[in-house]
Amino acid sequence: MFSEDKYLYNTNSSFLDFEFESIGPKGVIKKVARFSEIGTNIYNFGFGDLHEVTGEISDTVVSNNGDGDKVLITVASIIYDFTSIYAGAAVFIQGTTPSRTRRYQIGINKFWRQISLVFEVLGLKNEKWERFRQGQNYDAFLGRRKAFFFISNSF
Amino acid sequence: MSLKDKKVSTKQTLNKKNNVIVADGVGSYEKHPFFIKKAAAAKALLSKVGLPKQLAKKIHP
Repeated sequence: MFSEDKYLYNTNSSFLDFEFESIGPKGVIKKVARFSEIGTNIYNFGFGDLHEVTGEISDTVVSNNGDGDKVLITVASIIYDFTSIYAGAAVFIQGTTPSRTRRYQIGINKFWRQISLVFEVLGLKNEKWERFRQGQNYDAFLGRRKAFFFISNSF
Repeated sequence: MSLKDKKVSTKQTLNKKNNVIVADGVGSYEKHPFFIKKAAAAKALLSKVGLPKQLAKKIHP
C-alpha cells in the first residue's frame, strides 16, 4: 500500500505482535507493536520503544532518531498487514499524550489520499465518533478496511 | 469461528508482501504490562464514549 521508504518488520505467527528497528543518529531503537483484542473484532494498537535490557516498553520517550516519517509509514504498513490477516477488524489508536495522538493525526492527514482508498477512519471528537476529516483535531481514531466498515451514514 | 481460532496463512502472506517477515524470534507481548495497560485504557475510553452504532455491544467486559 505504502510505497514510501519504510523499515522491514517482523511478526510472529499470530500476526498480533510486530517488531522493527529504527536506525538513525541516536543509534538502533527497537520498536514494538501489538494489537490487543479489546472487543469482538476490535483491537487496540499499542506501540512503543523496547528497552532490550530491562524489557520495558515506553511510548513517552522522544526518540529523535531523525526517521519519524519512516517510522510512521512503517506503522501504517503494519496496520495494513494486520487488517489483511484479521479481515474486518477495527483498530483503535490513541497516543499516550495529546501530542502523540496529534502525531498519528498528522500521519493520517499526510497520507490521507492513500489511507482513504483502503480504510474508513473515524475520529473521536468531544466524545463523539465522526468520519475523519482533514484539518480536524481528534482524541482517538478507529479504522477498518472499507469493505468491512460501517455501511450506513448514521453517525 | 472466532479470530483466535482462525488459522493464519503466513506463507500466503509472505508471498504477497515483502516488508513483513514471520520470525521465530518475535515473542508474544500479550502479557506485557505495557500493552495490558494500554488495552485497559482503550477499553475504559470506549466504554465511556461508546462505539459507532455498528460496533456497539462488542467491547469485552
